[in-house]
Amino acid sequence: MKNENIYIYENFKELLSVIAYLIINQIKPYNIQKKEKVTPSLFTNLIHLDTHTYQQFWNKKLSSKIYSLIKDAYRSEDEYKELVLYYVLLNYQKYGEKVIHMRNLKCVNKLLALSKYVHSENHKWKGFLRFQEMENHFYYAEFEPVNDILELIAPHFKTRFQNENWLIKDVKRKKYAFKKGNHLFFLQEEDILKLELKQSLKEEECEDLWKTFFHTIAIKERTNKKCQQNFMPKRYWKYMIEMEREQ
Amino acid sequence: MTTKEKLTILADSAKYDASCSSSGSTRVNQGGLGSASINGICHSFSSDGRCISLLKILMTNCCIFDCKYCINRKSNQVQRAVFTPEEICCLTINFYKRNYIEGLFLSSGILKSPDYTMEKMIETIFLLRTKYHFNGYIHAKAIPGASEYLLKKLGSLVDRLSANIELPSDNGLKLLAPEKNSRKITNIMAYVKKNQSKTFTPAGQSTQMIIGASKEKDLEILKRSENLYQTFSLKRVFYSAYVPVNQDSLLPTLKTPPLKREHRLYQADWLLRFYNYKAEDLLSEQNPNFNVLLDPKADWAIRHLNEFPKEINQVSYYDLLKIPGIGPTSAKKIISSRRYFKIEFNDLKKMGISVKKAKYFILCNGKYFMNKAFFEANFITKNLLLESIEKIDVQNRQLSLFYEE
Repeated sequence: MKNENIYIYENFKELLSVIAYLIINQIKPYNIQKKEKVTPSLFTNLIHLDTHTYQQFWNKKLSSKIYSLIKDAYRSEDEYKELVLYYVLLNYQKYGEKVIHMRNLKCVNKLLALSKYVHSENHKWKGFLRFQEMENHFYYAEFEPVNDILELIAPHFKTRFQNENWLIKDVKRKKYAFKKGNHLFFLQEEDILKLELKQSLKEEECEDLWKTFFHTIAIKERTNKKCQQNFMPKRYWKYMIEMEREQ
Repeated sequence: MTTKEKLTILADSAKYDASCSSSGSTRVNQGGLGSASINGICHSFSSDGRCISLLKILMTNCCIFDCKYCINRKSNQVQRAVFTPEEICCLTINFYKRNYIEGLFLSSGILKSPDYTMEKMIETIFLLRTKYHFNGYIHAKAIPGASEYLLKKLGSLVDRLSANIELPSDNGLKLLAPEKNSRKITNIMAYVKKNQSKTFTPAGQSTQMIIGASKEKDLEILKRSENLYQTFSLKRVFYSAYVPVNQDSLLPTLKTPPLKREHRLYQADWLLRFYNYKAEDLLSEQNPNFNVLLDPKADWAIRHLNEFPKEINQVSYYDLLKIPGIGPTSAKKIISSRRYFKIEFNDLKKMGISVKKAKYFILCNGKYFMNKAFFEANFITKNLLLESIEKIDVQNRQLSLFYEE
């Protein structure tokens, strides 16, 4: 039996180069995977290409629309997102821009669905993320998005909270967005030597007021917890202080 | 009284206002705190399934009026409270900085006089915008009967300024809220419409009416909404199922709020605003109330079966919208795709378009989903009803219309 080839990449740019290589050489990949996600097996060959020569391939070729769709879909955690991107780009080479309307192609629907999922999750977290006030007017939030949206969501809070300094942690990916003054930094766990944050004295009282408001504003005669959960699925509750009692 | 006690009283008395939307404004952060988001953002959902976007409170629940349906009417023995401007600002800022809310919704009972009450509200919001440099979303309720110069002042500070029509007809209002008159309310709407701009109520206005406290039929209610949308370019009319809070011989005795009816009205309201329907398409003098079992669009389609089935590869955008189960999103998908390929039934599934209801009303590339002999009103009605019975989670979807678009 012939072994299947899995092509390995390390970042988004490299993924595009790998796809360019495959398209130019008319190779249909078995799979394309990120280096740290790969699990070697007896029946697969891992191929790490030197993609240097393909780096320029997509320059000026990708319209901004298709580029942002691809970039957004790349933020998803879908197991086969790389293959989706490969097939979309293969068809893009053939049909050009109009490919994004060709919803009879499975890969196009998948691309649009992934990108939509990423955006809707980003939108939900804009509302459901909760900051805590720490000492020295510093704000801290933790969240666990399914998709890799930290870079998408951070600019929203940067414009909104211009005079505040804050830190948002993506708990699952151990990544941080840190906003200080006018600057926004994206940090990894190892960049943060020691995180010693203490809640401000006002925090507890404020959380209590919020919970009071949250429970008071509901109309008892209209109780509909299933509807509540449809809009605000349980996976968001962990960091929402008003849902503490419910868990 | 502590802030917490006041908050309990004044959020409790504000909860019957349905509007919580924070959309339509593009207010930007000019070096202060906060910004608006054009699509609006829901920050939480309360246990009744309604979106929480704004800190929704009354400035006070003291009131010189005695509207029959209102929990805060003068003749009720309830605990009263008044927030100071500074207290409202602190709550708003503290909640906003923790990302609990998108902004403030401020309404009020009438203290001393409409003008006095409006002045107090303006003082609060002015403080929030200037001392606290707050650029988040603010929705204020105008007090009927307040002077025009106060409307002008308040409107230039907020994103949305609105007045509640309260009851669907003038007669209802006369009976249940004798101190309010509909002229005073529509005067506010006319003023906001005339002056709306980027700096004056950029997110426009909305209104609310209570359903089931007075005797209007659905047709009268929907016609009123249609008229309000046309005359005052309202962004939304909210319908609020009457929750019996008071005992009064003039009020109906209801065990539960008429949620189903409210739901049908929201669906029909959607049809007016986004689907090009008129109130009279949906209801008539002979048929003045909505079908409890079928949604207004399916009901309409079955009564107009001669216009169906529609070939989805050919008909116009507005014709696509007439197909039960097809909304603007699906219609746009169909339009953009069919230029590149002929859409078949299984393509619709691939495109993420549900054909559960639609299949009875469409042709895909000339084909009906089953033997064309079954294209007949009784058969279709029966099947749609079966599906709606299987789907007893109507209650779930009931409130889905509160969600930000």
